[in-house]
Amino acid sequence: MSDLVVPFVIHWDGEPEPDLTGIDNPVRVPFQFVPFESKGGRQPKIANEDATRIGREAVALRFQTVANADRATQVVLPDGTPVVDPATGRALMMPGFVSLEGNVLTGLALQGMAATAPATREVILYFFFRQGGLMDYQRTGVDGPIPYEANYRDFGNYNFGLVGAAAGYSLQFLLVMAGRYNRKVNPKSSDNSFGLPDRNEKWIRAGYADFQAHVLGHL
Amino acid sequence: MTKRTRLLLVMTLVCCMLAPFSSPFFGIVVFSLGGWLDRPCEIIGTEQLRSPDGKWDAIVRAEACGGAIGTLNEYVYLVPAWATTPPGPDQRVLEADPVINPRPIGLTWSGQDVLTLTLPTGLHITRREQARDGVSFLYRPEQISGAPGGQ
Repeated sequence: MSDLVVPFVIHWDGEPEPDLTGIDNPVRVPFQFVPFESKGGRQPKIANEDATRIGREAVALRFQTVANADRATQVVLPDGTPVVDPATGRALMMPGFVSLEGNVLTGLALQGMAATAPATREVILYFFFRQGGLMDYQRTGVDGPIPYEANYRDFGNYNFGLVGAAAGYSLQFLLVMAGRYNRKVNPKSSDNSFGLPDRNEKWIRAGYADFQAHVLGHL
Repeated sequence: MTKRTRLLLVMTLVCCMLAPFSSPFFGIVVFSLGGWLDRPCEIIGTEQLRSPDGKWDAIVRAEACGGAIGTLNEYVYLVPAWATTPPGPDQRVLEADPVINPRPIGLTWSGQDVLTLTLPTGLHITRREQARDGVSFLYRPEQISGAPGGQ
């Protein structure tokens, strides 16, 4: 969800042009009036009695819209391969505003950084994927923090494998890094030897493998 | 500025100072420290049910932990009634991984010391106990109305 602020002008027949000074691209909204007789003569009656913002002045109304950028979209790799869960055949979904190519290029930039300022690569990667980080799509939408979105959990892990591979890490290191992180935030007896739920490991591996097979050489 | 933010800034500074000596191993250190510094799990749903004799509280919770590589789990805890501290990992009787969106596990006390847990479809159980502190647990799959064999 995002807010869209639209200059809003109520405009009706018989009145002079409203003063639109200072308003860029005002939206004219058709508004129906029901004429009725009163002591002072003929005056407009508003069909919708609840509408309180009536006048010649332009007002900005705030609309809640579902932006396309926030809608889930299927993950498709640069070579056109759609990503699906091999176990269920279900398509892997990501938020519409995410650019997979952009994320991979970010990872490649981090790899370049490793040669000159190695620690910076690690710290930036952590800040991308930490709780509420730029690539924590379960909590970060196009406009900032969002309520927890469980459907992007698999994509979060997949993206970590993809970006981590682009950043120059081996799969083993990525799994250990993710596992150590998980052991601190949510230790469970059912986690595997890396300290990860099997499902997280599966998607990190998939992201890593797809970078090698479908992304490298297709950007 | 919160204590955690200050710690993160200190950690960043230390990392930059250590830059010439770093390697992929450094990533393991950063993510370990980061996990320690990150916010605690976010509780995105919870229900609580007291036993008929008033001795126990059964609590079901959906918890989202960590960041992009974090986990989403549903837990059932058995805690003494009127406990003042929040339930901890050693009080979990069930750990589960919801496949997509978490749907609550149904809780019913079938007697003084029998707790029935109704498990929604699509829930991947990673650990469960059969009994604890004299309370036994019965697990029952959710019956979907209209489904073959459903009630």
